[in-house]
Amino acid sequence: MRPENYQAKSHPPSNEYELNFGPNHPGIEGNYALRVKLRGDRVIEARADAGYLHRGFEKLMEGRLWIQNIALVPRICVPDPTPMEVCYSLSVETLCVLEAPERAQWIRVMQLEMSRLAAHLFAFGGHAATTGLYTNMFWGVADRDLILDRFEELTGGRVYSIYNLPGGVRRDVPDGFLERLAALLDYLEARLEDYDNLFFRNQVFIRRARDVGAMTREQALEWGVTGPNLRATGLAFDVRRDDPYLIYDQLEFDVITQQAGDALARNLVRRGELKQSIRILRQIIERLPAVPGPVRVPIPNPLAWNAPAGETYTRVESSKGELAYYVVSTGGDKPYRVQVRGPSAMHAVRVLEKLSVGARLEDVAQIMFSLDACPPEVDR
Amino acid sequence: MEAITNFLVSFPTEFPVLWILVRIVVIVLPLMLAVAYFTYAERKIIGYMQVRLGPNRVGPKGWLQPIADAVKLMFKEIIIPSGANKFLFVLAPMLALGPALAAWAVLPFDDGMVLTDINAGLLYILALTSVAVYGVIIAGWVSNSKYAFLGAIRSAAQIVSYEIAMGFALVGVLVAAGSLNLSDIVRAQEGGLLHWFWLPLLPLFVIYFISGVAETNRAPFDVAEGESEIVAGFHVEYSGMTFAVFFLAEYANMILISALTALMFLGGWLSPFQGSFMESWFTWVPGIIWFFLKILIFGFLFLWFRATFPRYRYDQIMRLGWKVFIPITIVWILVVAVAVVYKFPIWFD
Amino acid sequence: MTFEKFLFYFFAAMVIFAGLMLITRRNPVYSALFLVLAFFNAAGLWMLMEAEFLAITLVLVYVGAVMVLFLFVVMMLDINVAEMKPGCFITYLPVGILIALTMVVEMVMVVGPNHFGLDIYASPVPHAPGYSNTGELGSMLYTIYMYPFEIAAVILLVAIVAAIGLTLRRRPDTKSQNPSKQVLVKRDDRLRVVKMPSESKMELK
Repeated sequence: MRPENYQAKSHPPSNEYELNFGPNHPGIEGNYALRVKLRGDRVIEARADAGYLHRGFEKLMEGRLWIQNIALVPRICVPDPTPMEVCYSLSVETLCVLEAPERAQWIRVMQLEMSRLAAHLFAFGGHAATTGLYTNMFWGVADRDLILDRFEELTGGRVYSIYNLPGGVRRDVPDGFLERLAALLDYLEARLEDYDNLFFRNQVFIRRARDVGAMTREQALEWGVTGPNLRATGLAFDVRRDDPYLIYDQLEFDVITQQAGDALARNLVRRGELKQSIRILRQIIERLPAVPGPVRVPIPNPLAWNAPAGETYTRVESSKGELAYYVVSTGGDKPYRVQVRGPSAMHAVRVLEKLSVGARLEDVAQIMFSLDACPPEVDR
Repeated sequence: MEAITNFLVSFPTEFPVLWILVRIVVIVLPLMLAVAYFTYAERKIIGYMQVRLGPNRVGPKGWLQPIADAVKLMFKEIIIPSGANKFLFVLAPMLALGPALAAWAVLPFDDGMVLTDINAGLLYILALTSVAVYGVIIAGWVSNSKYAFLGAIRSAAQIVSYEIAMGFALVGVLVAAGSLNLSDIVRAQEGGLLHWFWLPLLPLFVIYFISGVAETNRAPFDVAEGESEIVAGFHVEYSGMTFAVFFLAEYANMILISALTALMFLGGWLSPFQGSFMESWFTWVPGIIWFFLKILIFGFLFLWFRATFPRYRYDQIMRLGWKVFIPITIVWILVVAVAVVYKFPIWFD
Repeated sequence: MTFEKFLFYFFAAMVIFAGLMLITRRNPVYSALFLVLAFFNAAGLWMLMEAEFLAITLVLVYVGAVMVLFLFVVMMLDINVAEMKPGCFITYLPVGILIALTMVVEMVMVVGPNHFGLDIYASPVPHAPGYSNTGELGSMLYTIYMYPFEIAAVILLVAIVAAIGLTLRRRPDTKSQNPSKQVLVKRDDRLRVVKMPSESKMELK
């Protein structure tokens, strides 16, 4: 394009133009692209362009032993890897009619909630960054790092812990871990006040995020929205409560809902869930020492472990929404087919495309981050 | 020895043009150094606000970081987009930086310490700041990029709108001071902290500084750059030294706005303790130090805003400028005019 | 040649150069930029005539505001310059020459040798350094020319209102926020904390 020819000759004169929003763009999460058609600075059409991160997890899993896949699954979603491990382990356990010992279940819930804390801190930090408030992002990353320290202590891995396996968890909690976790929770709870002052009570932010990317409850249900995004439309649906897995039915927590269904509501739901996660973790810290037992049940020799033929659909509540594994076994030592139902695949493609239409260009990044979609999980 | 002294004494009258050049250099060189270390201060201060350390690798405590950055940018290739007009592409950053430096010609650092003491100083400042927008517009257009063009359009609209609010705020100042000369405006604020114009012109003071933030395209009004939306806006295609000049212009403008706010509302070189019992304790402090301290206050505010505010949306910026600031300034100009006519005590008697 | 004279010829030459470039460029954006250059040099000429208020106002208003908006429009025009043949220039040349000639004749009639010159007007005496052109202009505007000034202001106001009225349109297809609604929103409109017991664990089938 030359300055003299601002529009290519073949185009009919029009005040619409296309803009590539990604895959290298500071306002996009990870390697992901949106192609938006604009009139002025209003989006009139948005098309998600996924696939930059496609690594073929589902196919890869068909070539690996049941237990080997544990090392593969957390890589599907980088910011929130633990639900992947736990959900896969649960589905294999269902196939093999195993049940993890009670203590392992408690430790799994502890991990899940720690992971949710880390992921939510990351999520609204990212949203703040799309509005130019990088402070919140740096705070979120710094506080997430403290949670990762605890993960490292518990599992040996900071991000990909590879700690859960069918039949339990690898080892028991280290000595003094629970006290250190309790201290971290106290710190985080005090820190939430700072986040409120900087971000959630920031009038500029509230006016930016309110009414942006709003969806009604009906739309959300039709589009397959789950997790905090669904709860932000006023529907109190949480897999942890409505289809309890592990020991969630023994814990006390509230399901946070908001009525507006916009970017602000989604973030406020996450903000509320941070508090609930801390509450759950406190209960675990209090009750875990009294839970007896080993942390794993004996499993067959992993190299010659043939799961009985059958299929299972197992779901958990990840920080992004309902995460499910559909695993089919034909009785071999490897899965016949694994389908990952990642919440982001719904949020970042269909929902993002629909919510972007009519929004301003500057709100597209906000919509994407407020949906908390995770591109690696979209592409898998 | 005597010859040298004679030469130095007669220098200003013998070579007036050279003498002016020397004085320009004396202003611009420290200014550029201040700009360089302002970037360092920004990265450090915002770093601490964001629980980071900021630059700390180059030199002791990172003191040499701005120098390293400048050297790096100097040796980087300048990539000119194909089909862009080379002359305009290179001219745009200079148009952005030029006014920011030229405005210092009329700024008094101390009583009588000013390059040119012209009567229409305030008008001159207004004219120059209004010209600065050309750098942005030309850069955005000549880059041949949609992102750059979007940034340029946003920025042009924003600067033109906020110039009006800024201009009205300055009208209030000149009504209060009864002069367009910046030195006279400072002299009109004699008498200590409470006599400065920030108090009688409080709404104008706030509006002037906020408009200044908007005028320099700084957070929370940085829609022209809008990193998460249009990547870097008008200077997305610029690299190397051309980018560095835009960068310098932004920071030079920030210092300029801080200096202007200090002159017009915080009494420039005047001591805050004038007229109080502490006046005699601080007589040894030269006026220029007070002036620099006041600049630092506003410079810090610029950085603080950036660390604690999300970006406004474009329509919100426009709403704020046209529907809030301009009406308030118009009303307050009337208030000030009435106060001046009726010689309202302590400030206008 | 004194320094002032040199400056005068320099600015005058630049105005003419910029004017010529303005009408010969094919790309309207370049034309607009040359117009800006012409304004700058005209401001320089006025400055030489000790009309510093007018000079600065020319830069402030025309360069800083009017031309910015002008550029704004011109840059967004969908003009394919390649299609604008140089023939256009030739086609409009006769009309242009006609208008230019008319203007030259009119100017000669007004400022020709019969009406203008050192023998009719004495050469103006340079004012003392303290003289403020701005103040003089102000006292003239607000005393002798009070009514024309106010009427011009009212006409401009009408023009602003009319321009907004002509261009204002509502777009139903966009999602806009209503700030007044936003401000009035209450906590109960948005937040609901659900407290209910967990359901019992489902049986595995």
